[in-house]
Parts: sequence; C-alpha cells; structure tokens
Amino acid sequence: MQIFLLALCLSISLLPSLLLRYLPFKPFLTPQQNKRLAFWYGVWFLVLFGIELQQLLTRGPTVQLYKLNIMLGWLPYLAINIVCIPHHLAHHIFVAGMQCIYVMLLHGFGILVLTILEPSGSLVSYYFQQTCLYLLLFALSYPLIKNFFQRVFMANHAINDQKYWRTICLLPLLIVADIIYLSYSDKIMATTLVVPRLLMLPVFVSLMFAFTYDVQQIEQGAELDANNKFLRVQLNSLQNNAHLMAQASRKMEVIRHDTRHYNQLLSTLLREGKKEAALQLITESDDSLQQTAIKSYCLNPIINTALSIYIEKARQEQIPLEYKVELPTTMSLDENRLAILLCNLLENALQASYKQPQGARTLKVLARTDHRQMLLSVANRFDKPVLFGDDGLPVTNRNGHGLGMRSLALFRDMYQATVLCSHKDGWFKTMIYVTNKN
Amino acid sequence: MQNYFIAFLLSVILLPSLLLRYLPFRRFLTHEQNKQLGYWYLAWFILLYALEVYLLQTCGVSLKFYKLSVMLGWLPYLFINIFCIPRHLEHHLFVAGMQTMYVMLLHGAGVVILSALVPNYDIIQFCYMQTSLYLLLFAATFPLIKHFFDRVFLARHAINDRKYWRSVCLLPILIVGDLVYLSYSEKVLALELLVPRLILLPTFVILKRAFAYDVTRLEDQASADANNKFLSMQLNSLKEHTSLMEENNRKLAVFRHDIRHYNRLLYSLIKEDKTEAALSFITDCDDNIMQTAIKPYCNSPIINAAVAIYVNKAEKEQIPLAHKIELPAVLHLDENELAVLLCNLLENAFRASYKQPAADRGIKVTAKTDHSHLLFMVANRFQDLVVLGDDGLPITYKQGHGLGMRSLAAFRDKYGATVLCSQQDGWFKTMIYVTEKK
Repeated sequence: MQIFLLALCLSISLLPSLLLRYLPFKPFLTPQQNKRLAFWYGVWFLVLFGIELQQLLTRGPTVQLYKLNIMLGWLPYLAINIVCIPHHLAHHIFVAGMQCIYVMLLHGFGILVLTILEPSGSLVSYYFQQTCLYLLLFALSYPLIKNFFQRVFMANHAINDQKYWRTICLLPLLIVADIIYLSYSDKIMATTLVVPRLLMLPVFVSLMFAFTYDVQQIEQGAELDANNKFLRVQLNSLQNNAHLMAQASRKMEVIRHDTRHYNQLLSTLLREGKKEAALQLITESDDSLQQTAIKSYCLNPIINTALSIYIEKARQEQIPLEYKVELPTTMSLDENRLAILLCNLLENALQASYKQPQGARTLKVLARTDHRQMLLSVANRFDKPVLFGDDGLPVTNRNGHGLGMRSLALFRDMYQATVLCSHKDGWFKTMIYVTNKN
Repeated sequence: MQNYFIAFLLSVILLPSLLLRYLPFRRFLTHEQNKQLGYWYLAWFILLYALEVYLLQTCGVSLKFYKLSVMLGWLPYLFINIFCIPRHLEHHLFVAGMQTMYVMLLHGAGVVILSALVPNYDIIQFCYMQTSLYLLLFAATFPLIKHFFDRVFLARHAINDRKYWRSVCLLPILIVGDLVYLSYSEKVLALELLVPRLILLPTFVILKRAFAYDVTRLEDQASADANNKFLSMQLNSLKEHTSLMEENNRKLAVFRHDIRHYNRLLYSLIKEDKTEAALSFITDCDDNIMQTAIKPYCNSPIINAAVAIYVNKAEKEQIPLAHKIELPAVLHLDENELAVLLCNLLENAFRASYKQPAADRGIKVTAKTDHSHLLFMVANRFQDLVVLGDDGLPITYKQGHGLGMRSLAAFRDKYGATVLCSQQDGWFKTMIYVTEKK
C-alpha cells in the first residue's frame, strides 16, 4: 500500500512542471490538440506510475530514484508537447529550461527546509514530506510566475522571431544544467548546494525580466517596421500624386505666363490709348481652356492618398469597392494617424476578401463628419466565422491580435473613440466614431 | 626568492582579465581618463604584489590562496574602472560577469589539461604550470572573443538603453556565481567540476551571441525610429506642399474658368473709357495670378519636402541656410533613401550648429546631377575639432558613430558612393558622389 502511495507521490510531483510547460501554448491550441495532449499525458502518467511501482518493489525507495524521477520523468511529457504542438521546437526548449530552473529552485528550497526542520527523518517520510513541501511551495509561488509563463508567447511578432528564439532557447537549460548534474548523487545535498541553489533565484528573476523586456522590444520593433512600411507606401503614393500635381502646375505655369503677357500687353495698349487694339486682343483671346483634373475621392489630401492606394488596388483585383467619403480639407484629429488607420482597415478588408470566393467579394468605405463628430466605417463581405476578443475586437485564430487591430486599439485609446466590430449577414464591419472634444 | 616569483605570477595572472574589462570602454575614453586608469592600475598591481609577498612569507603557498587570489584579486581593478569611468555601472558589471565566465572557462580548461598531462605535482609546480597554461590559453583564444569585448558598447543607442542593461547586467555574474563558489576549496576540482565547466562553454557562447543579437536589434530599432520620424516629417511637408499646390491650381483653374467674365468686364470698362479702372483691374488680376505661383526647391517632390522641412526650421531658428539643388524630377536612385539621408545630414548639421555661437552659424546644401553622376554636399560651420574614424566618417567623442553617420555608411555601401568628410576654414563638409550604374 505504501509503495503505491510512494509511486503516486513521484508521479504527481511532475504535474506542476507539466502545467508550466503547457501554459505558454494554451491560448492558441485547438480543442483537438488539447484532447490529444490530455490523452498522451494520461498515457505517460500511467506508464510512469507503473515503472515507479516496479522500481520501488524491486529496490525500495532510494534518494537516487527520487532525484532521477524529478530529473528525467518529465522528458516524455516534453516530447509529447513537441510532437503534439509542432513547429515550436525552440519555444518548447526555452520553456522547459525556464521551468527546470524554477523546479530546481523549489526542490532545493524544499529540501533545505526539510533538513532544518527534521534532520533525521526516514527516507519514506522524506519522500512524502518533500513532495508535499514542493507542491505547497509551487502553489504559493505560482501566482508570481504565472503571468510570465502565460504571456511569454502572446506577442504575435515576438513568437515568430525564429532567429531570436533559436539563439537563446538553450540558455535557461544550460544555466541550470550544472546544478542538476551536481545534484544527482545518492546523498541529500541540501547544505552542500545551498549557495548555488540560492543563486538560482536571482538568475531566474533576471532571466524572466530580461526575456520579458526582449519580447517587448521585438514587438515594438515589429510595430516600427509596419509603421515604416505604411509610411513608405503613403509617401510613394503621395509622391505620385505630387508628380501629377507638378505636371498640372507646369501647365498652369504656362497659362500664368501667357496671362501675364496678355495683361501686360493690354495695359500697354491702354496706356498708349490704343483702345481698338486692346478690344481686339480681348476678343481674340477668348478661347475655351481644357482642365487637367486629378482624380479626387475626397477633399482631404492625405486621406485621399490612402483611399487612392486601395481603390486602385481593389480595381486591379476586381473587387467591387463602394465609397462615400465626405471629409473636410482639415480635420481636428491627426490626419496621418487616421490615414494609417484607414490603410490598416482597408488592408485587413482586402486580405479577408481574398479568402472569399471570387463572386462574393465586396468592400465598402464610408466616412462622414460634421463639426462635432466623425464616423468612419469599413465593411467587407466575409462568410467564415470571426472570433472576438474581450475588448470587442476580432482575434486571429493563431496568436493574439493582428497589427491592424492593434493600430485600431491605439487610435481608439488616443481619441477615446468608440469602436464597434460586427459580423452579420455575411458582412464584417468596423465602425469608428470619434467625438471632437473641443 | 621563490615567494617573490610566485607573488609576481599571481599578480600577472590578473592582467588578461583586466584587458577584457578595459577593452569595451577603450574607444570613448579621454586621454586624461586613460592616464588616471593607468596610474591606479599600477598602484593596485604594486599593492597586490606586496600583499601577496607578505601573505606568502607568513602563511606559505596553498591552493586556497591561489584560488582566492584569482577570485578576488581583480575586484579592486573593477572598482578602479567604476570610479574612473563613471556613469557606466551596469556596463561594468555586465563586462565583469562576461569576463569572469571566460576566465573560469580558461582556468577550468587549464586545470583539466594539467591533471591529464601531469598526474603528480606539488603546489609550487601547480602555480607555475597553471598560470602559464592560463596565459597560453588566453593568448590562443583571445582573437575569438576580442571582437565581442571590443564592440559590445560601440553601438551608440544600444549603450544608452539603460533599462535593458539594468535588467541584464547581473545575469552573467549570477550564472557563473555558483561555479565560482563551488570551485573554492582546498582541492583541485578538475574532475568533479568537469561537467559544469564544460557546460559553461556553450552558455558563454550563447550569451555572447544573444547579447550581440540584442545590441544589433536595439540599434536597428533606434534607426527605424529615427527613420519613421523623418518619414512622418517628410510626409507632412509633402502633404503641405501638395495641398498648397492643389489650392493654387484650383485658384488658377477658377480664374481660367472666370476669364470670360474677366474679359467681358474689361471689354465693357474699355468700351466705356474707364481706362483707370481697367488698368487697376488688370493689375489686381496680375497680383492674384502671381500669388498662385510657388517656387519649389527642386523638382523631385520628396527631396523637396525634405529640404522644405529644414529651410523652414532654419528660418525659424535664424540659422543662415544656403541651398542650391538642381535635381531632375526622376532620379535613378531611391528618392526615399536619399531624402532620409539628406534629413540625417541636415539634422546633424543643425545639431552641430547649436554648439556654435549664434553669430557663427551657417549651413549649405548643394545637389547637382549630370546624366550619370549625382553630387551632393552638406556643410556647416563648426570650429571644434571633428575626429574622423578609420572609415573616414566622423565619430562622436562619446560613443561610436551617430545614427546619421550609420545611415550615411549604409547609403555608401548600397550605391558604391564616394563619401568625403572634411573640415577646413571652420566649415565641416560632407560630400557624396554617386555614379549611376547602368
């Protein structure tokens, strides 16, 4: 009976670390993946229990068995993760390393407390007490580290920076490897290794800080990059516009020049009293002039530029685009931001349209202002289901929000705008409503 | 006699690590700082030597003494660095950690080789052989790590990211801390600690790479940030320019549309002999037409936008800015890049001008093309001495190249441009000469 309990102790002591390795991937696992993971976790739990039972029956409880169980028993769980959550090898190794440091820390702490409280306990009672202490410590400190394990891969761009993860994924594991190696012996090393184990605590905290900081940096970098691209697209488009305008200006220059000559001639004639000649000149010059018109979708030049890019794109892709944009030349909010937002939304709408069958694509853009408020809405036909996050914005089914939605959230916070996303009758629609504070 | 010699060895053994801690700061130390460092280094070297001679005479030589000397003897050198190169505490700690890791690696390798080659040795032999092995290994591996220590702080923006360095500075020292602690004993621990020391090697290599990666990323981000700012500025300027142009064109178009009425009015005025009224009508019209003319700085709208930003800035800050830009409307190189470069150089010129007395400020911009060459020059009055680096570009007297010069170097490499920086008669001048490749 005792042997059963001991084996159970050993199997259960591996579950907290399993949780830590599962947590980072949780937000983007499908139900099928979850099921598969649970199945294989269950299988290994039972197999391990069996192995431990056999070992305990043949050799009885030893320190070495306990240590071996903690050091190696979780590896199949890791292998299950790697197989069931593919394309994330670097991430699995990284999380395993961080979790190892943390588990070593708790075990080291537990055994230290145990040897102080009960210097001469039997090995069987040590098995139970150490496992209980470990679980207790885990439960106590879990709220402190939960956030890190839960969030480390939430950042959409950071997780995809493969080069970064490839570089650092082995680091945590290597850092803890020497302690693991030194801990593996048939004695309890509570006092011999107390200093190295104590050192692990600041190492773990520093690593957590450093990685969190890095992830933030990568995310910011991705945002800068995307902004840079949008700016360049706008700049180029505005440049084309400016070229056209410059051509029109050049024609106007000729007219200006001619008109000045004409005026000069007229004044000279008038001063010299040649009235008849002046009158004749006027009659002759009465011609009809051709205009050079630049296509204009709305009065505001920068919004016009943004619209032009996508209207042209939609036309090329033969996606019907309806627009009704009534904006004044100057607006009370930052037009650059609004233009970037519009680019983002239209880009998203176009991307979504590509997923639609050819005949079922349509975009609609609507913008209107009066002196107090502005209404902007972008809608596209979309038949597949859309998932919404807690904040009412759609989440992509892979990892977190896309950039377009991030930009939208920023805009919303900056201008305290009201943003409504809806998906009804095969139309996905984003409405933004800004009230002028002045 | 032997004691004197061993004390000397123990003092010399600390010098390689001293070099590693000095190297990262070397480039931005002033002459006085170098002198001060040299003086204090020497003082501690002599003091340490005396201390060791004294201890050897009184207590005799022991393994613990050797280890203690290696583990603690360098700390005063670190303090000297911290005091003589102030405001870099995080950087000193970081470098010290990396260097400790490296030194531990070499000592570990040395002692393993020693116990493999010479099974029996007394403590005196150990001191000699281990020291020479260490120095030999250092000399052999120095070329591999020199680059890292030499360059880690060269990136100007990365070094100033205090938050980053604060979060990582303790990491290396903490990682190696347990090994240092465990190594301190009366025995040679070559075999016991072989595995942890072997693990230290990949840890060191990965840390080195991870930090180099982080620094590159921080730097890229700073330049992306600056680029985005320039792009937004240009976008705004271009936007202003086009809307001005558009407005003028519209006015002129309206005028052209109204010319029939104008002619009819003139015709009636002249017919009715109101010559004075007709003349003033003509003058009025002429003035109106003249107001619609805008003179761009150059034909390329994007370059024009960039120049406009700084011409306006110069007017506002009353810095004389002479510009002569003769560029065609379409260039054979990326206008965005050229514009960003121009912004960078002008920004630098403005910064330098602020350091001049208000009366001694002046900036010149020239750009010229013929069919296959582009010549481009930005000059500003500057009286202090500009230090040029190995690549002919100026280095700021604090740390490394500024962003402007990085951008210039990138441009030069991309287009195979010739860049000449010179300082003469109180003018600092940057000339860029690009030959178009057909």
